[in-house]
Amino acid sequence: MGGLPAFESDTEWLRGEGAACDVVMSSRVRLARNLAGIPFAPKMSDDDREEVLERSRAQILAGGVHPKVMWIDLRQISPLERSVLVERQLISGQLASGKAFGHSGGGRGAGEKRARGVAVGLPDERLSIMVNEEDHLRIQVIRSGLGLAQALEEVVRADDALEAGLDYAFGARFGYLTCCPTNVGTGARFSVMMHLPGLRLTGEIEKVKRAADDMGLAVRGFHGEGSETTGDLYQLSNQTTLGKSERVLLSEIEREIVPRVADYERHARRVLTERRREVLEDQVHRAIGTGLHARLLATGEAMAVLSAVRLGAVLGVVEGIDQSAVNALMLAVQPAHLQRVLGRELNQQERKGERATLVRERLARALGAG
Amino acid sequence: MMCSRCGEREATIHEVVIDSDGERAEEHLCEVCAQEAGVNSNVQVPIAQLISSFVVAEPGSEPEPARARPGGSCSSCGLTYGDFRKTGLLGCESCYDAFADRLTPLLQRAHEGGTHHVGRSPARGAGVKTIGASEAAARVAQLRRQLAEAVRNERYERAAQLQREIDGIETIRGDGGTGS
Ligand SMILES: [Zn+2]
Ligand SMILES: [Zn+2]
Repeated sequence: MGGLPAFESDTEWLRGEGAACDVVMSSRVRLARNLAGIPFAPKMSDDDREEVLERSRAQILAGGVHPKVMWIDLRQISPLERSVLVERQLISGQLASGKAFGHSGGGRGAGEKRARGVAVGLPDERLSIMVNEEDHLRIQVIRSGLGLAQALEEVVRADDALEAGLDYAFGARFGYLTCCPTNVGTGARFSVMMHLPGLRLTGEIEKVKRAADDMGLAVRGFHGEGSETTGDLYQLSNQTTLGKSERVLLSEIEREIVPRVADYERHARRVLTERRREVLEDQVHRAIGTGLHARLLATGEAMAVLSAVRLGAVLGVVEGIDQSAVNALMLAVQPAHLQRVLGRELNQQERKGERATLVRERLARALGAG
Repeated sequence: MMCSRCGEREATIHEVVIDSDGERAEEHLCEVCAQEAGVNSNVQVPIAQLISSFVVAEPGSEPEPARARPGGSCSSCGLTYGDFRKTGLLGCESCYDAFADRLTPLLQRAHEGGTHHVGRSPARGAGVKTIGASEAAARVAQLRRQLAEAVRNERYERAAQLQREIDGIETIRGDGGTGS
């Protein structure tokens, strides 16, 4: 696994800091851009893809985009290493597999050789620029906690630096022209990843999903490996990109929607601590029991344990938990990271065993800290 | 929750689908079926669904101007409207011109009525400008009408949303158009 650097730091999205970090894990702004004069993904030739990759790479590495950037040609690293990047939220699953957007032919594994890459801003991994995803460029910035405004500012800076050397496909009427018309206009997708265990425990999560949908937001779970739950992590994002400026989109989600959902979650947590304390304590301690004693853990089970422990820590059910260690575990239990930590490939059964061992050891340490 | 297609694996991708009545439905897919279904997690409203629901909802209402005949294709990349209906993806930037008339109603549905870009624009490159002054004025006028309507119907949340949108357009114009 020589292709990737060690990635010793915590990823930004799991740092657990920033505004509203009791409920909001991370904020992300992503811009979709295409180069003028080159077809979009469904109509690109291999040469077109090479050209987009090369021109983008040159502009990214020309300086000005970010002080320290790591460029990764995704054809040159292993599937496991690509999965590590997916789990760190630096690339999409589609970019990892090289799945041909809009192509039906090719069959399994045909995407492997497609020219595609990613640039990652170091050392904090806040910035990543995907090349030859559904759009030629997908530029994203992730910030810990509720920080869409800072993320927008950073992503705009990167966008400006790229645009200084690349002509974008843009029209006065439809704005930034994207492969899929659902992204046209600003090309901007604002997403906030929220931790909502209280609403699940009080049975109100569906209501929130419906309300969010009424407000034109998409709600989806965090991508885990096939699993029962994904640690109560939900991503809220805007669906509209045309007819509203970046600032309007930002303020709708950051100032109106997210605080409302966050308050709803906090209310649920208050109800739990004040009126259903036993239920809450039972859930948290059961989770700790599982984490400290299980011998086999699927990703989803591990995430459920960590979600409950995190809730217990935030609400003071368990004192003196090292929260950053719990957050870091949420990444470490993901399949590719687990194999990376252990330095070898594991089948699913082996992963369950090793995952349980890892959780046992690290959770014991996190609980002992304080 | 099990995948609603194969019923074998756990569903990890939860897609919200808006049908022709504007009703919301959810689809829960495992990663394998999602890949096969072409459900891209980055696309929150599957446009193929939007297109078919639009066509079902208003049969025969599709505009058919000369340059966008059924079976017509983009002269630049060769994509047909049928191709687009299958995948929800366009083939090149010229597709937006080639299919403008048919895309407009789809865009309105997908973007809460939005039909024109408002916001940042590239600082360089050909034909670059933000929304033109007359377009902005027209959009503001349209929004103001919707705002009055919303207030009349006591839909204050919607009214607040419209007001913000109006403010957004006016701020951008005030900035001199670059919006960066
Ligand atoms: Zn399935
Ligand atoms: Zn075209």
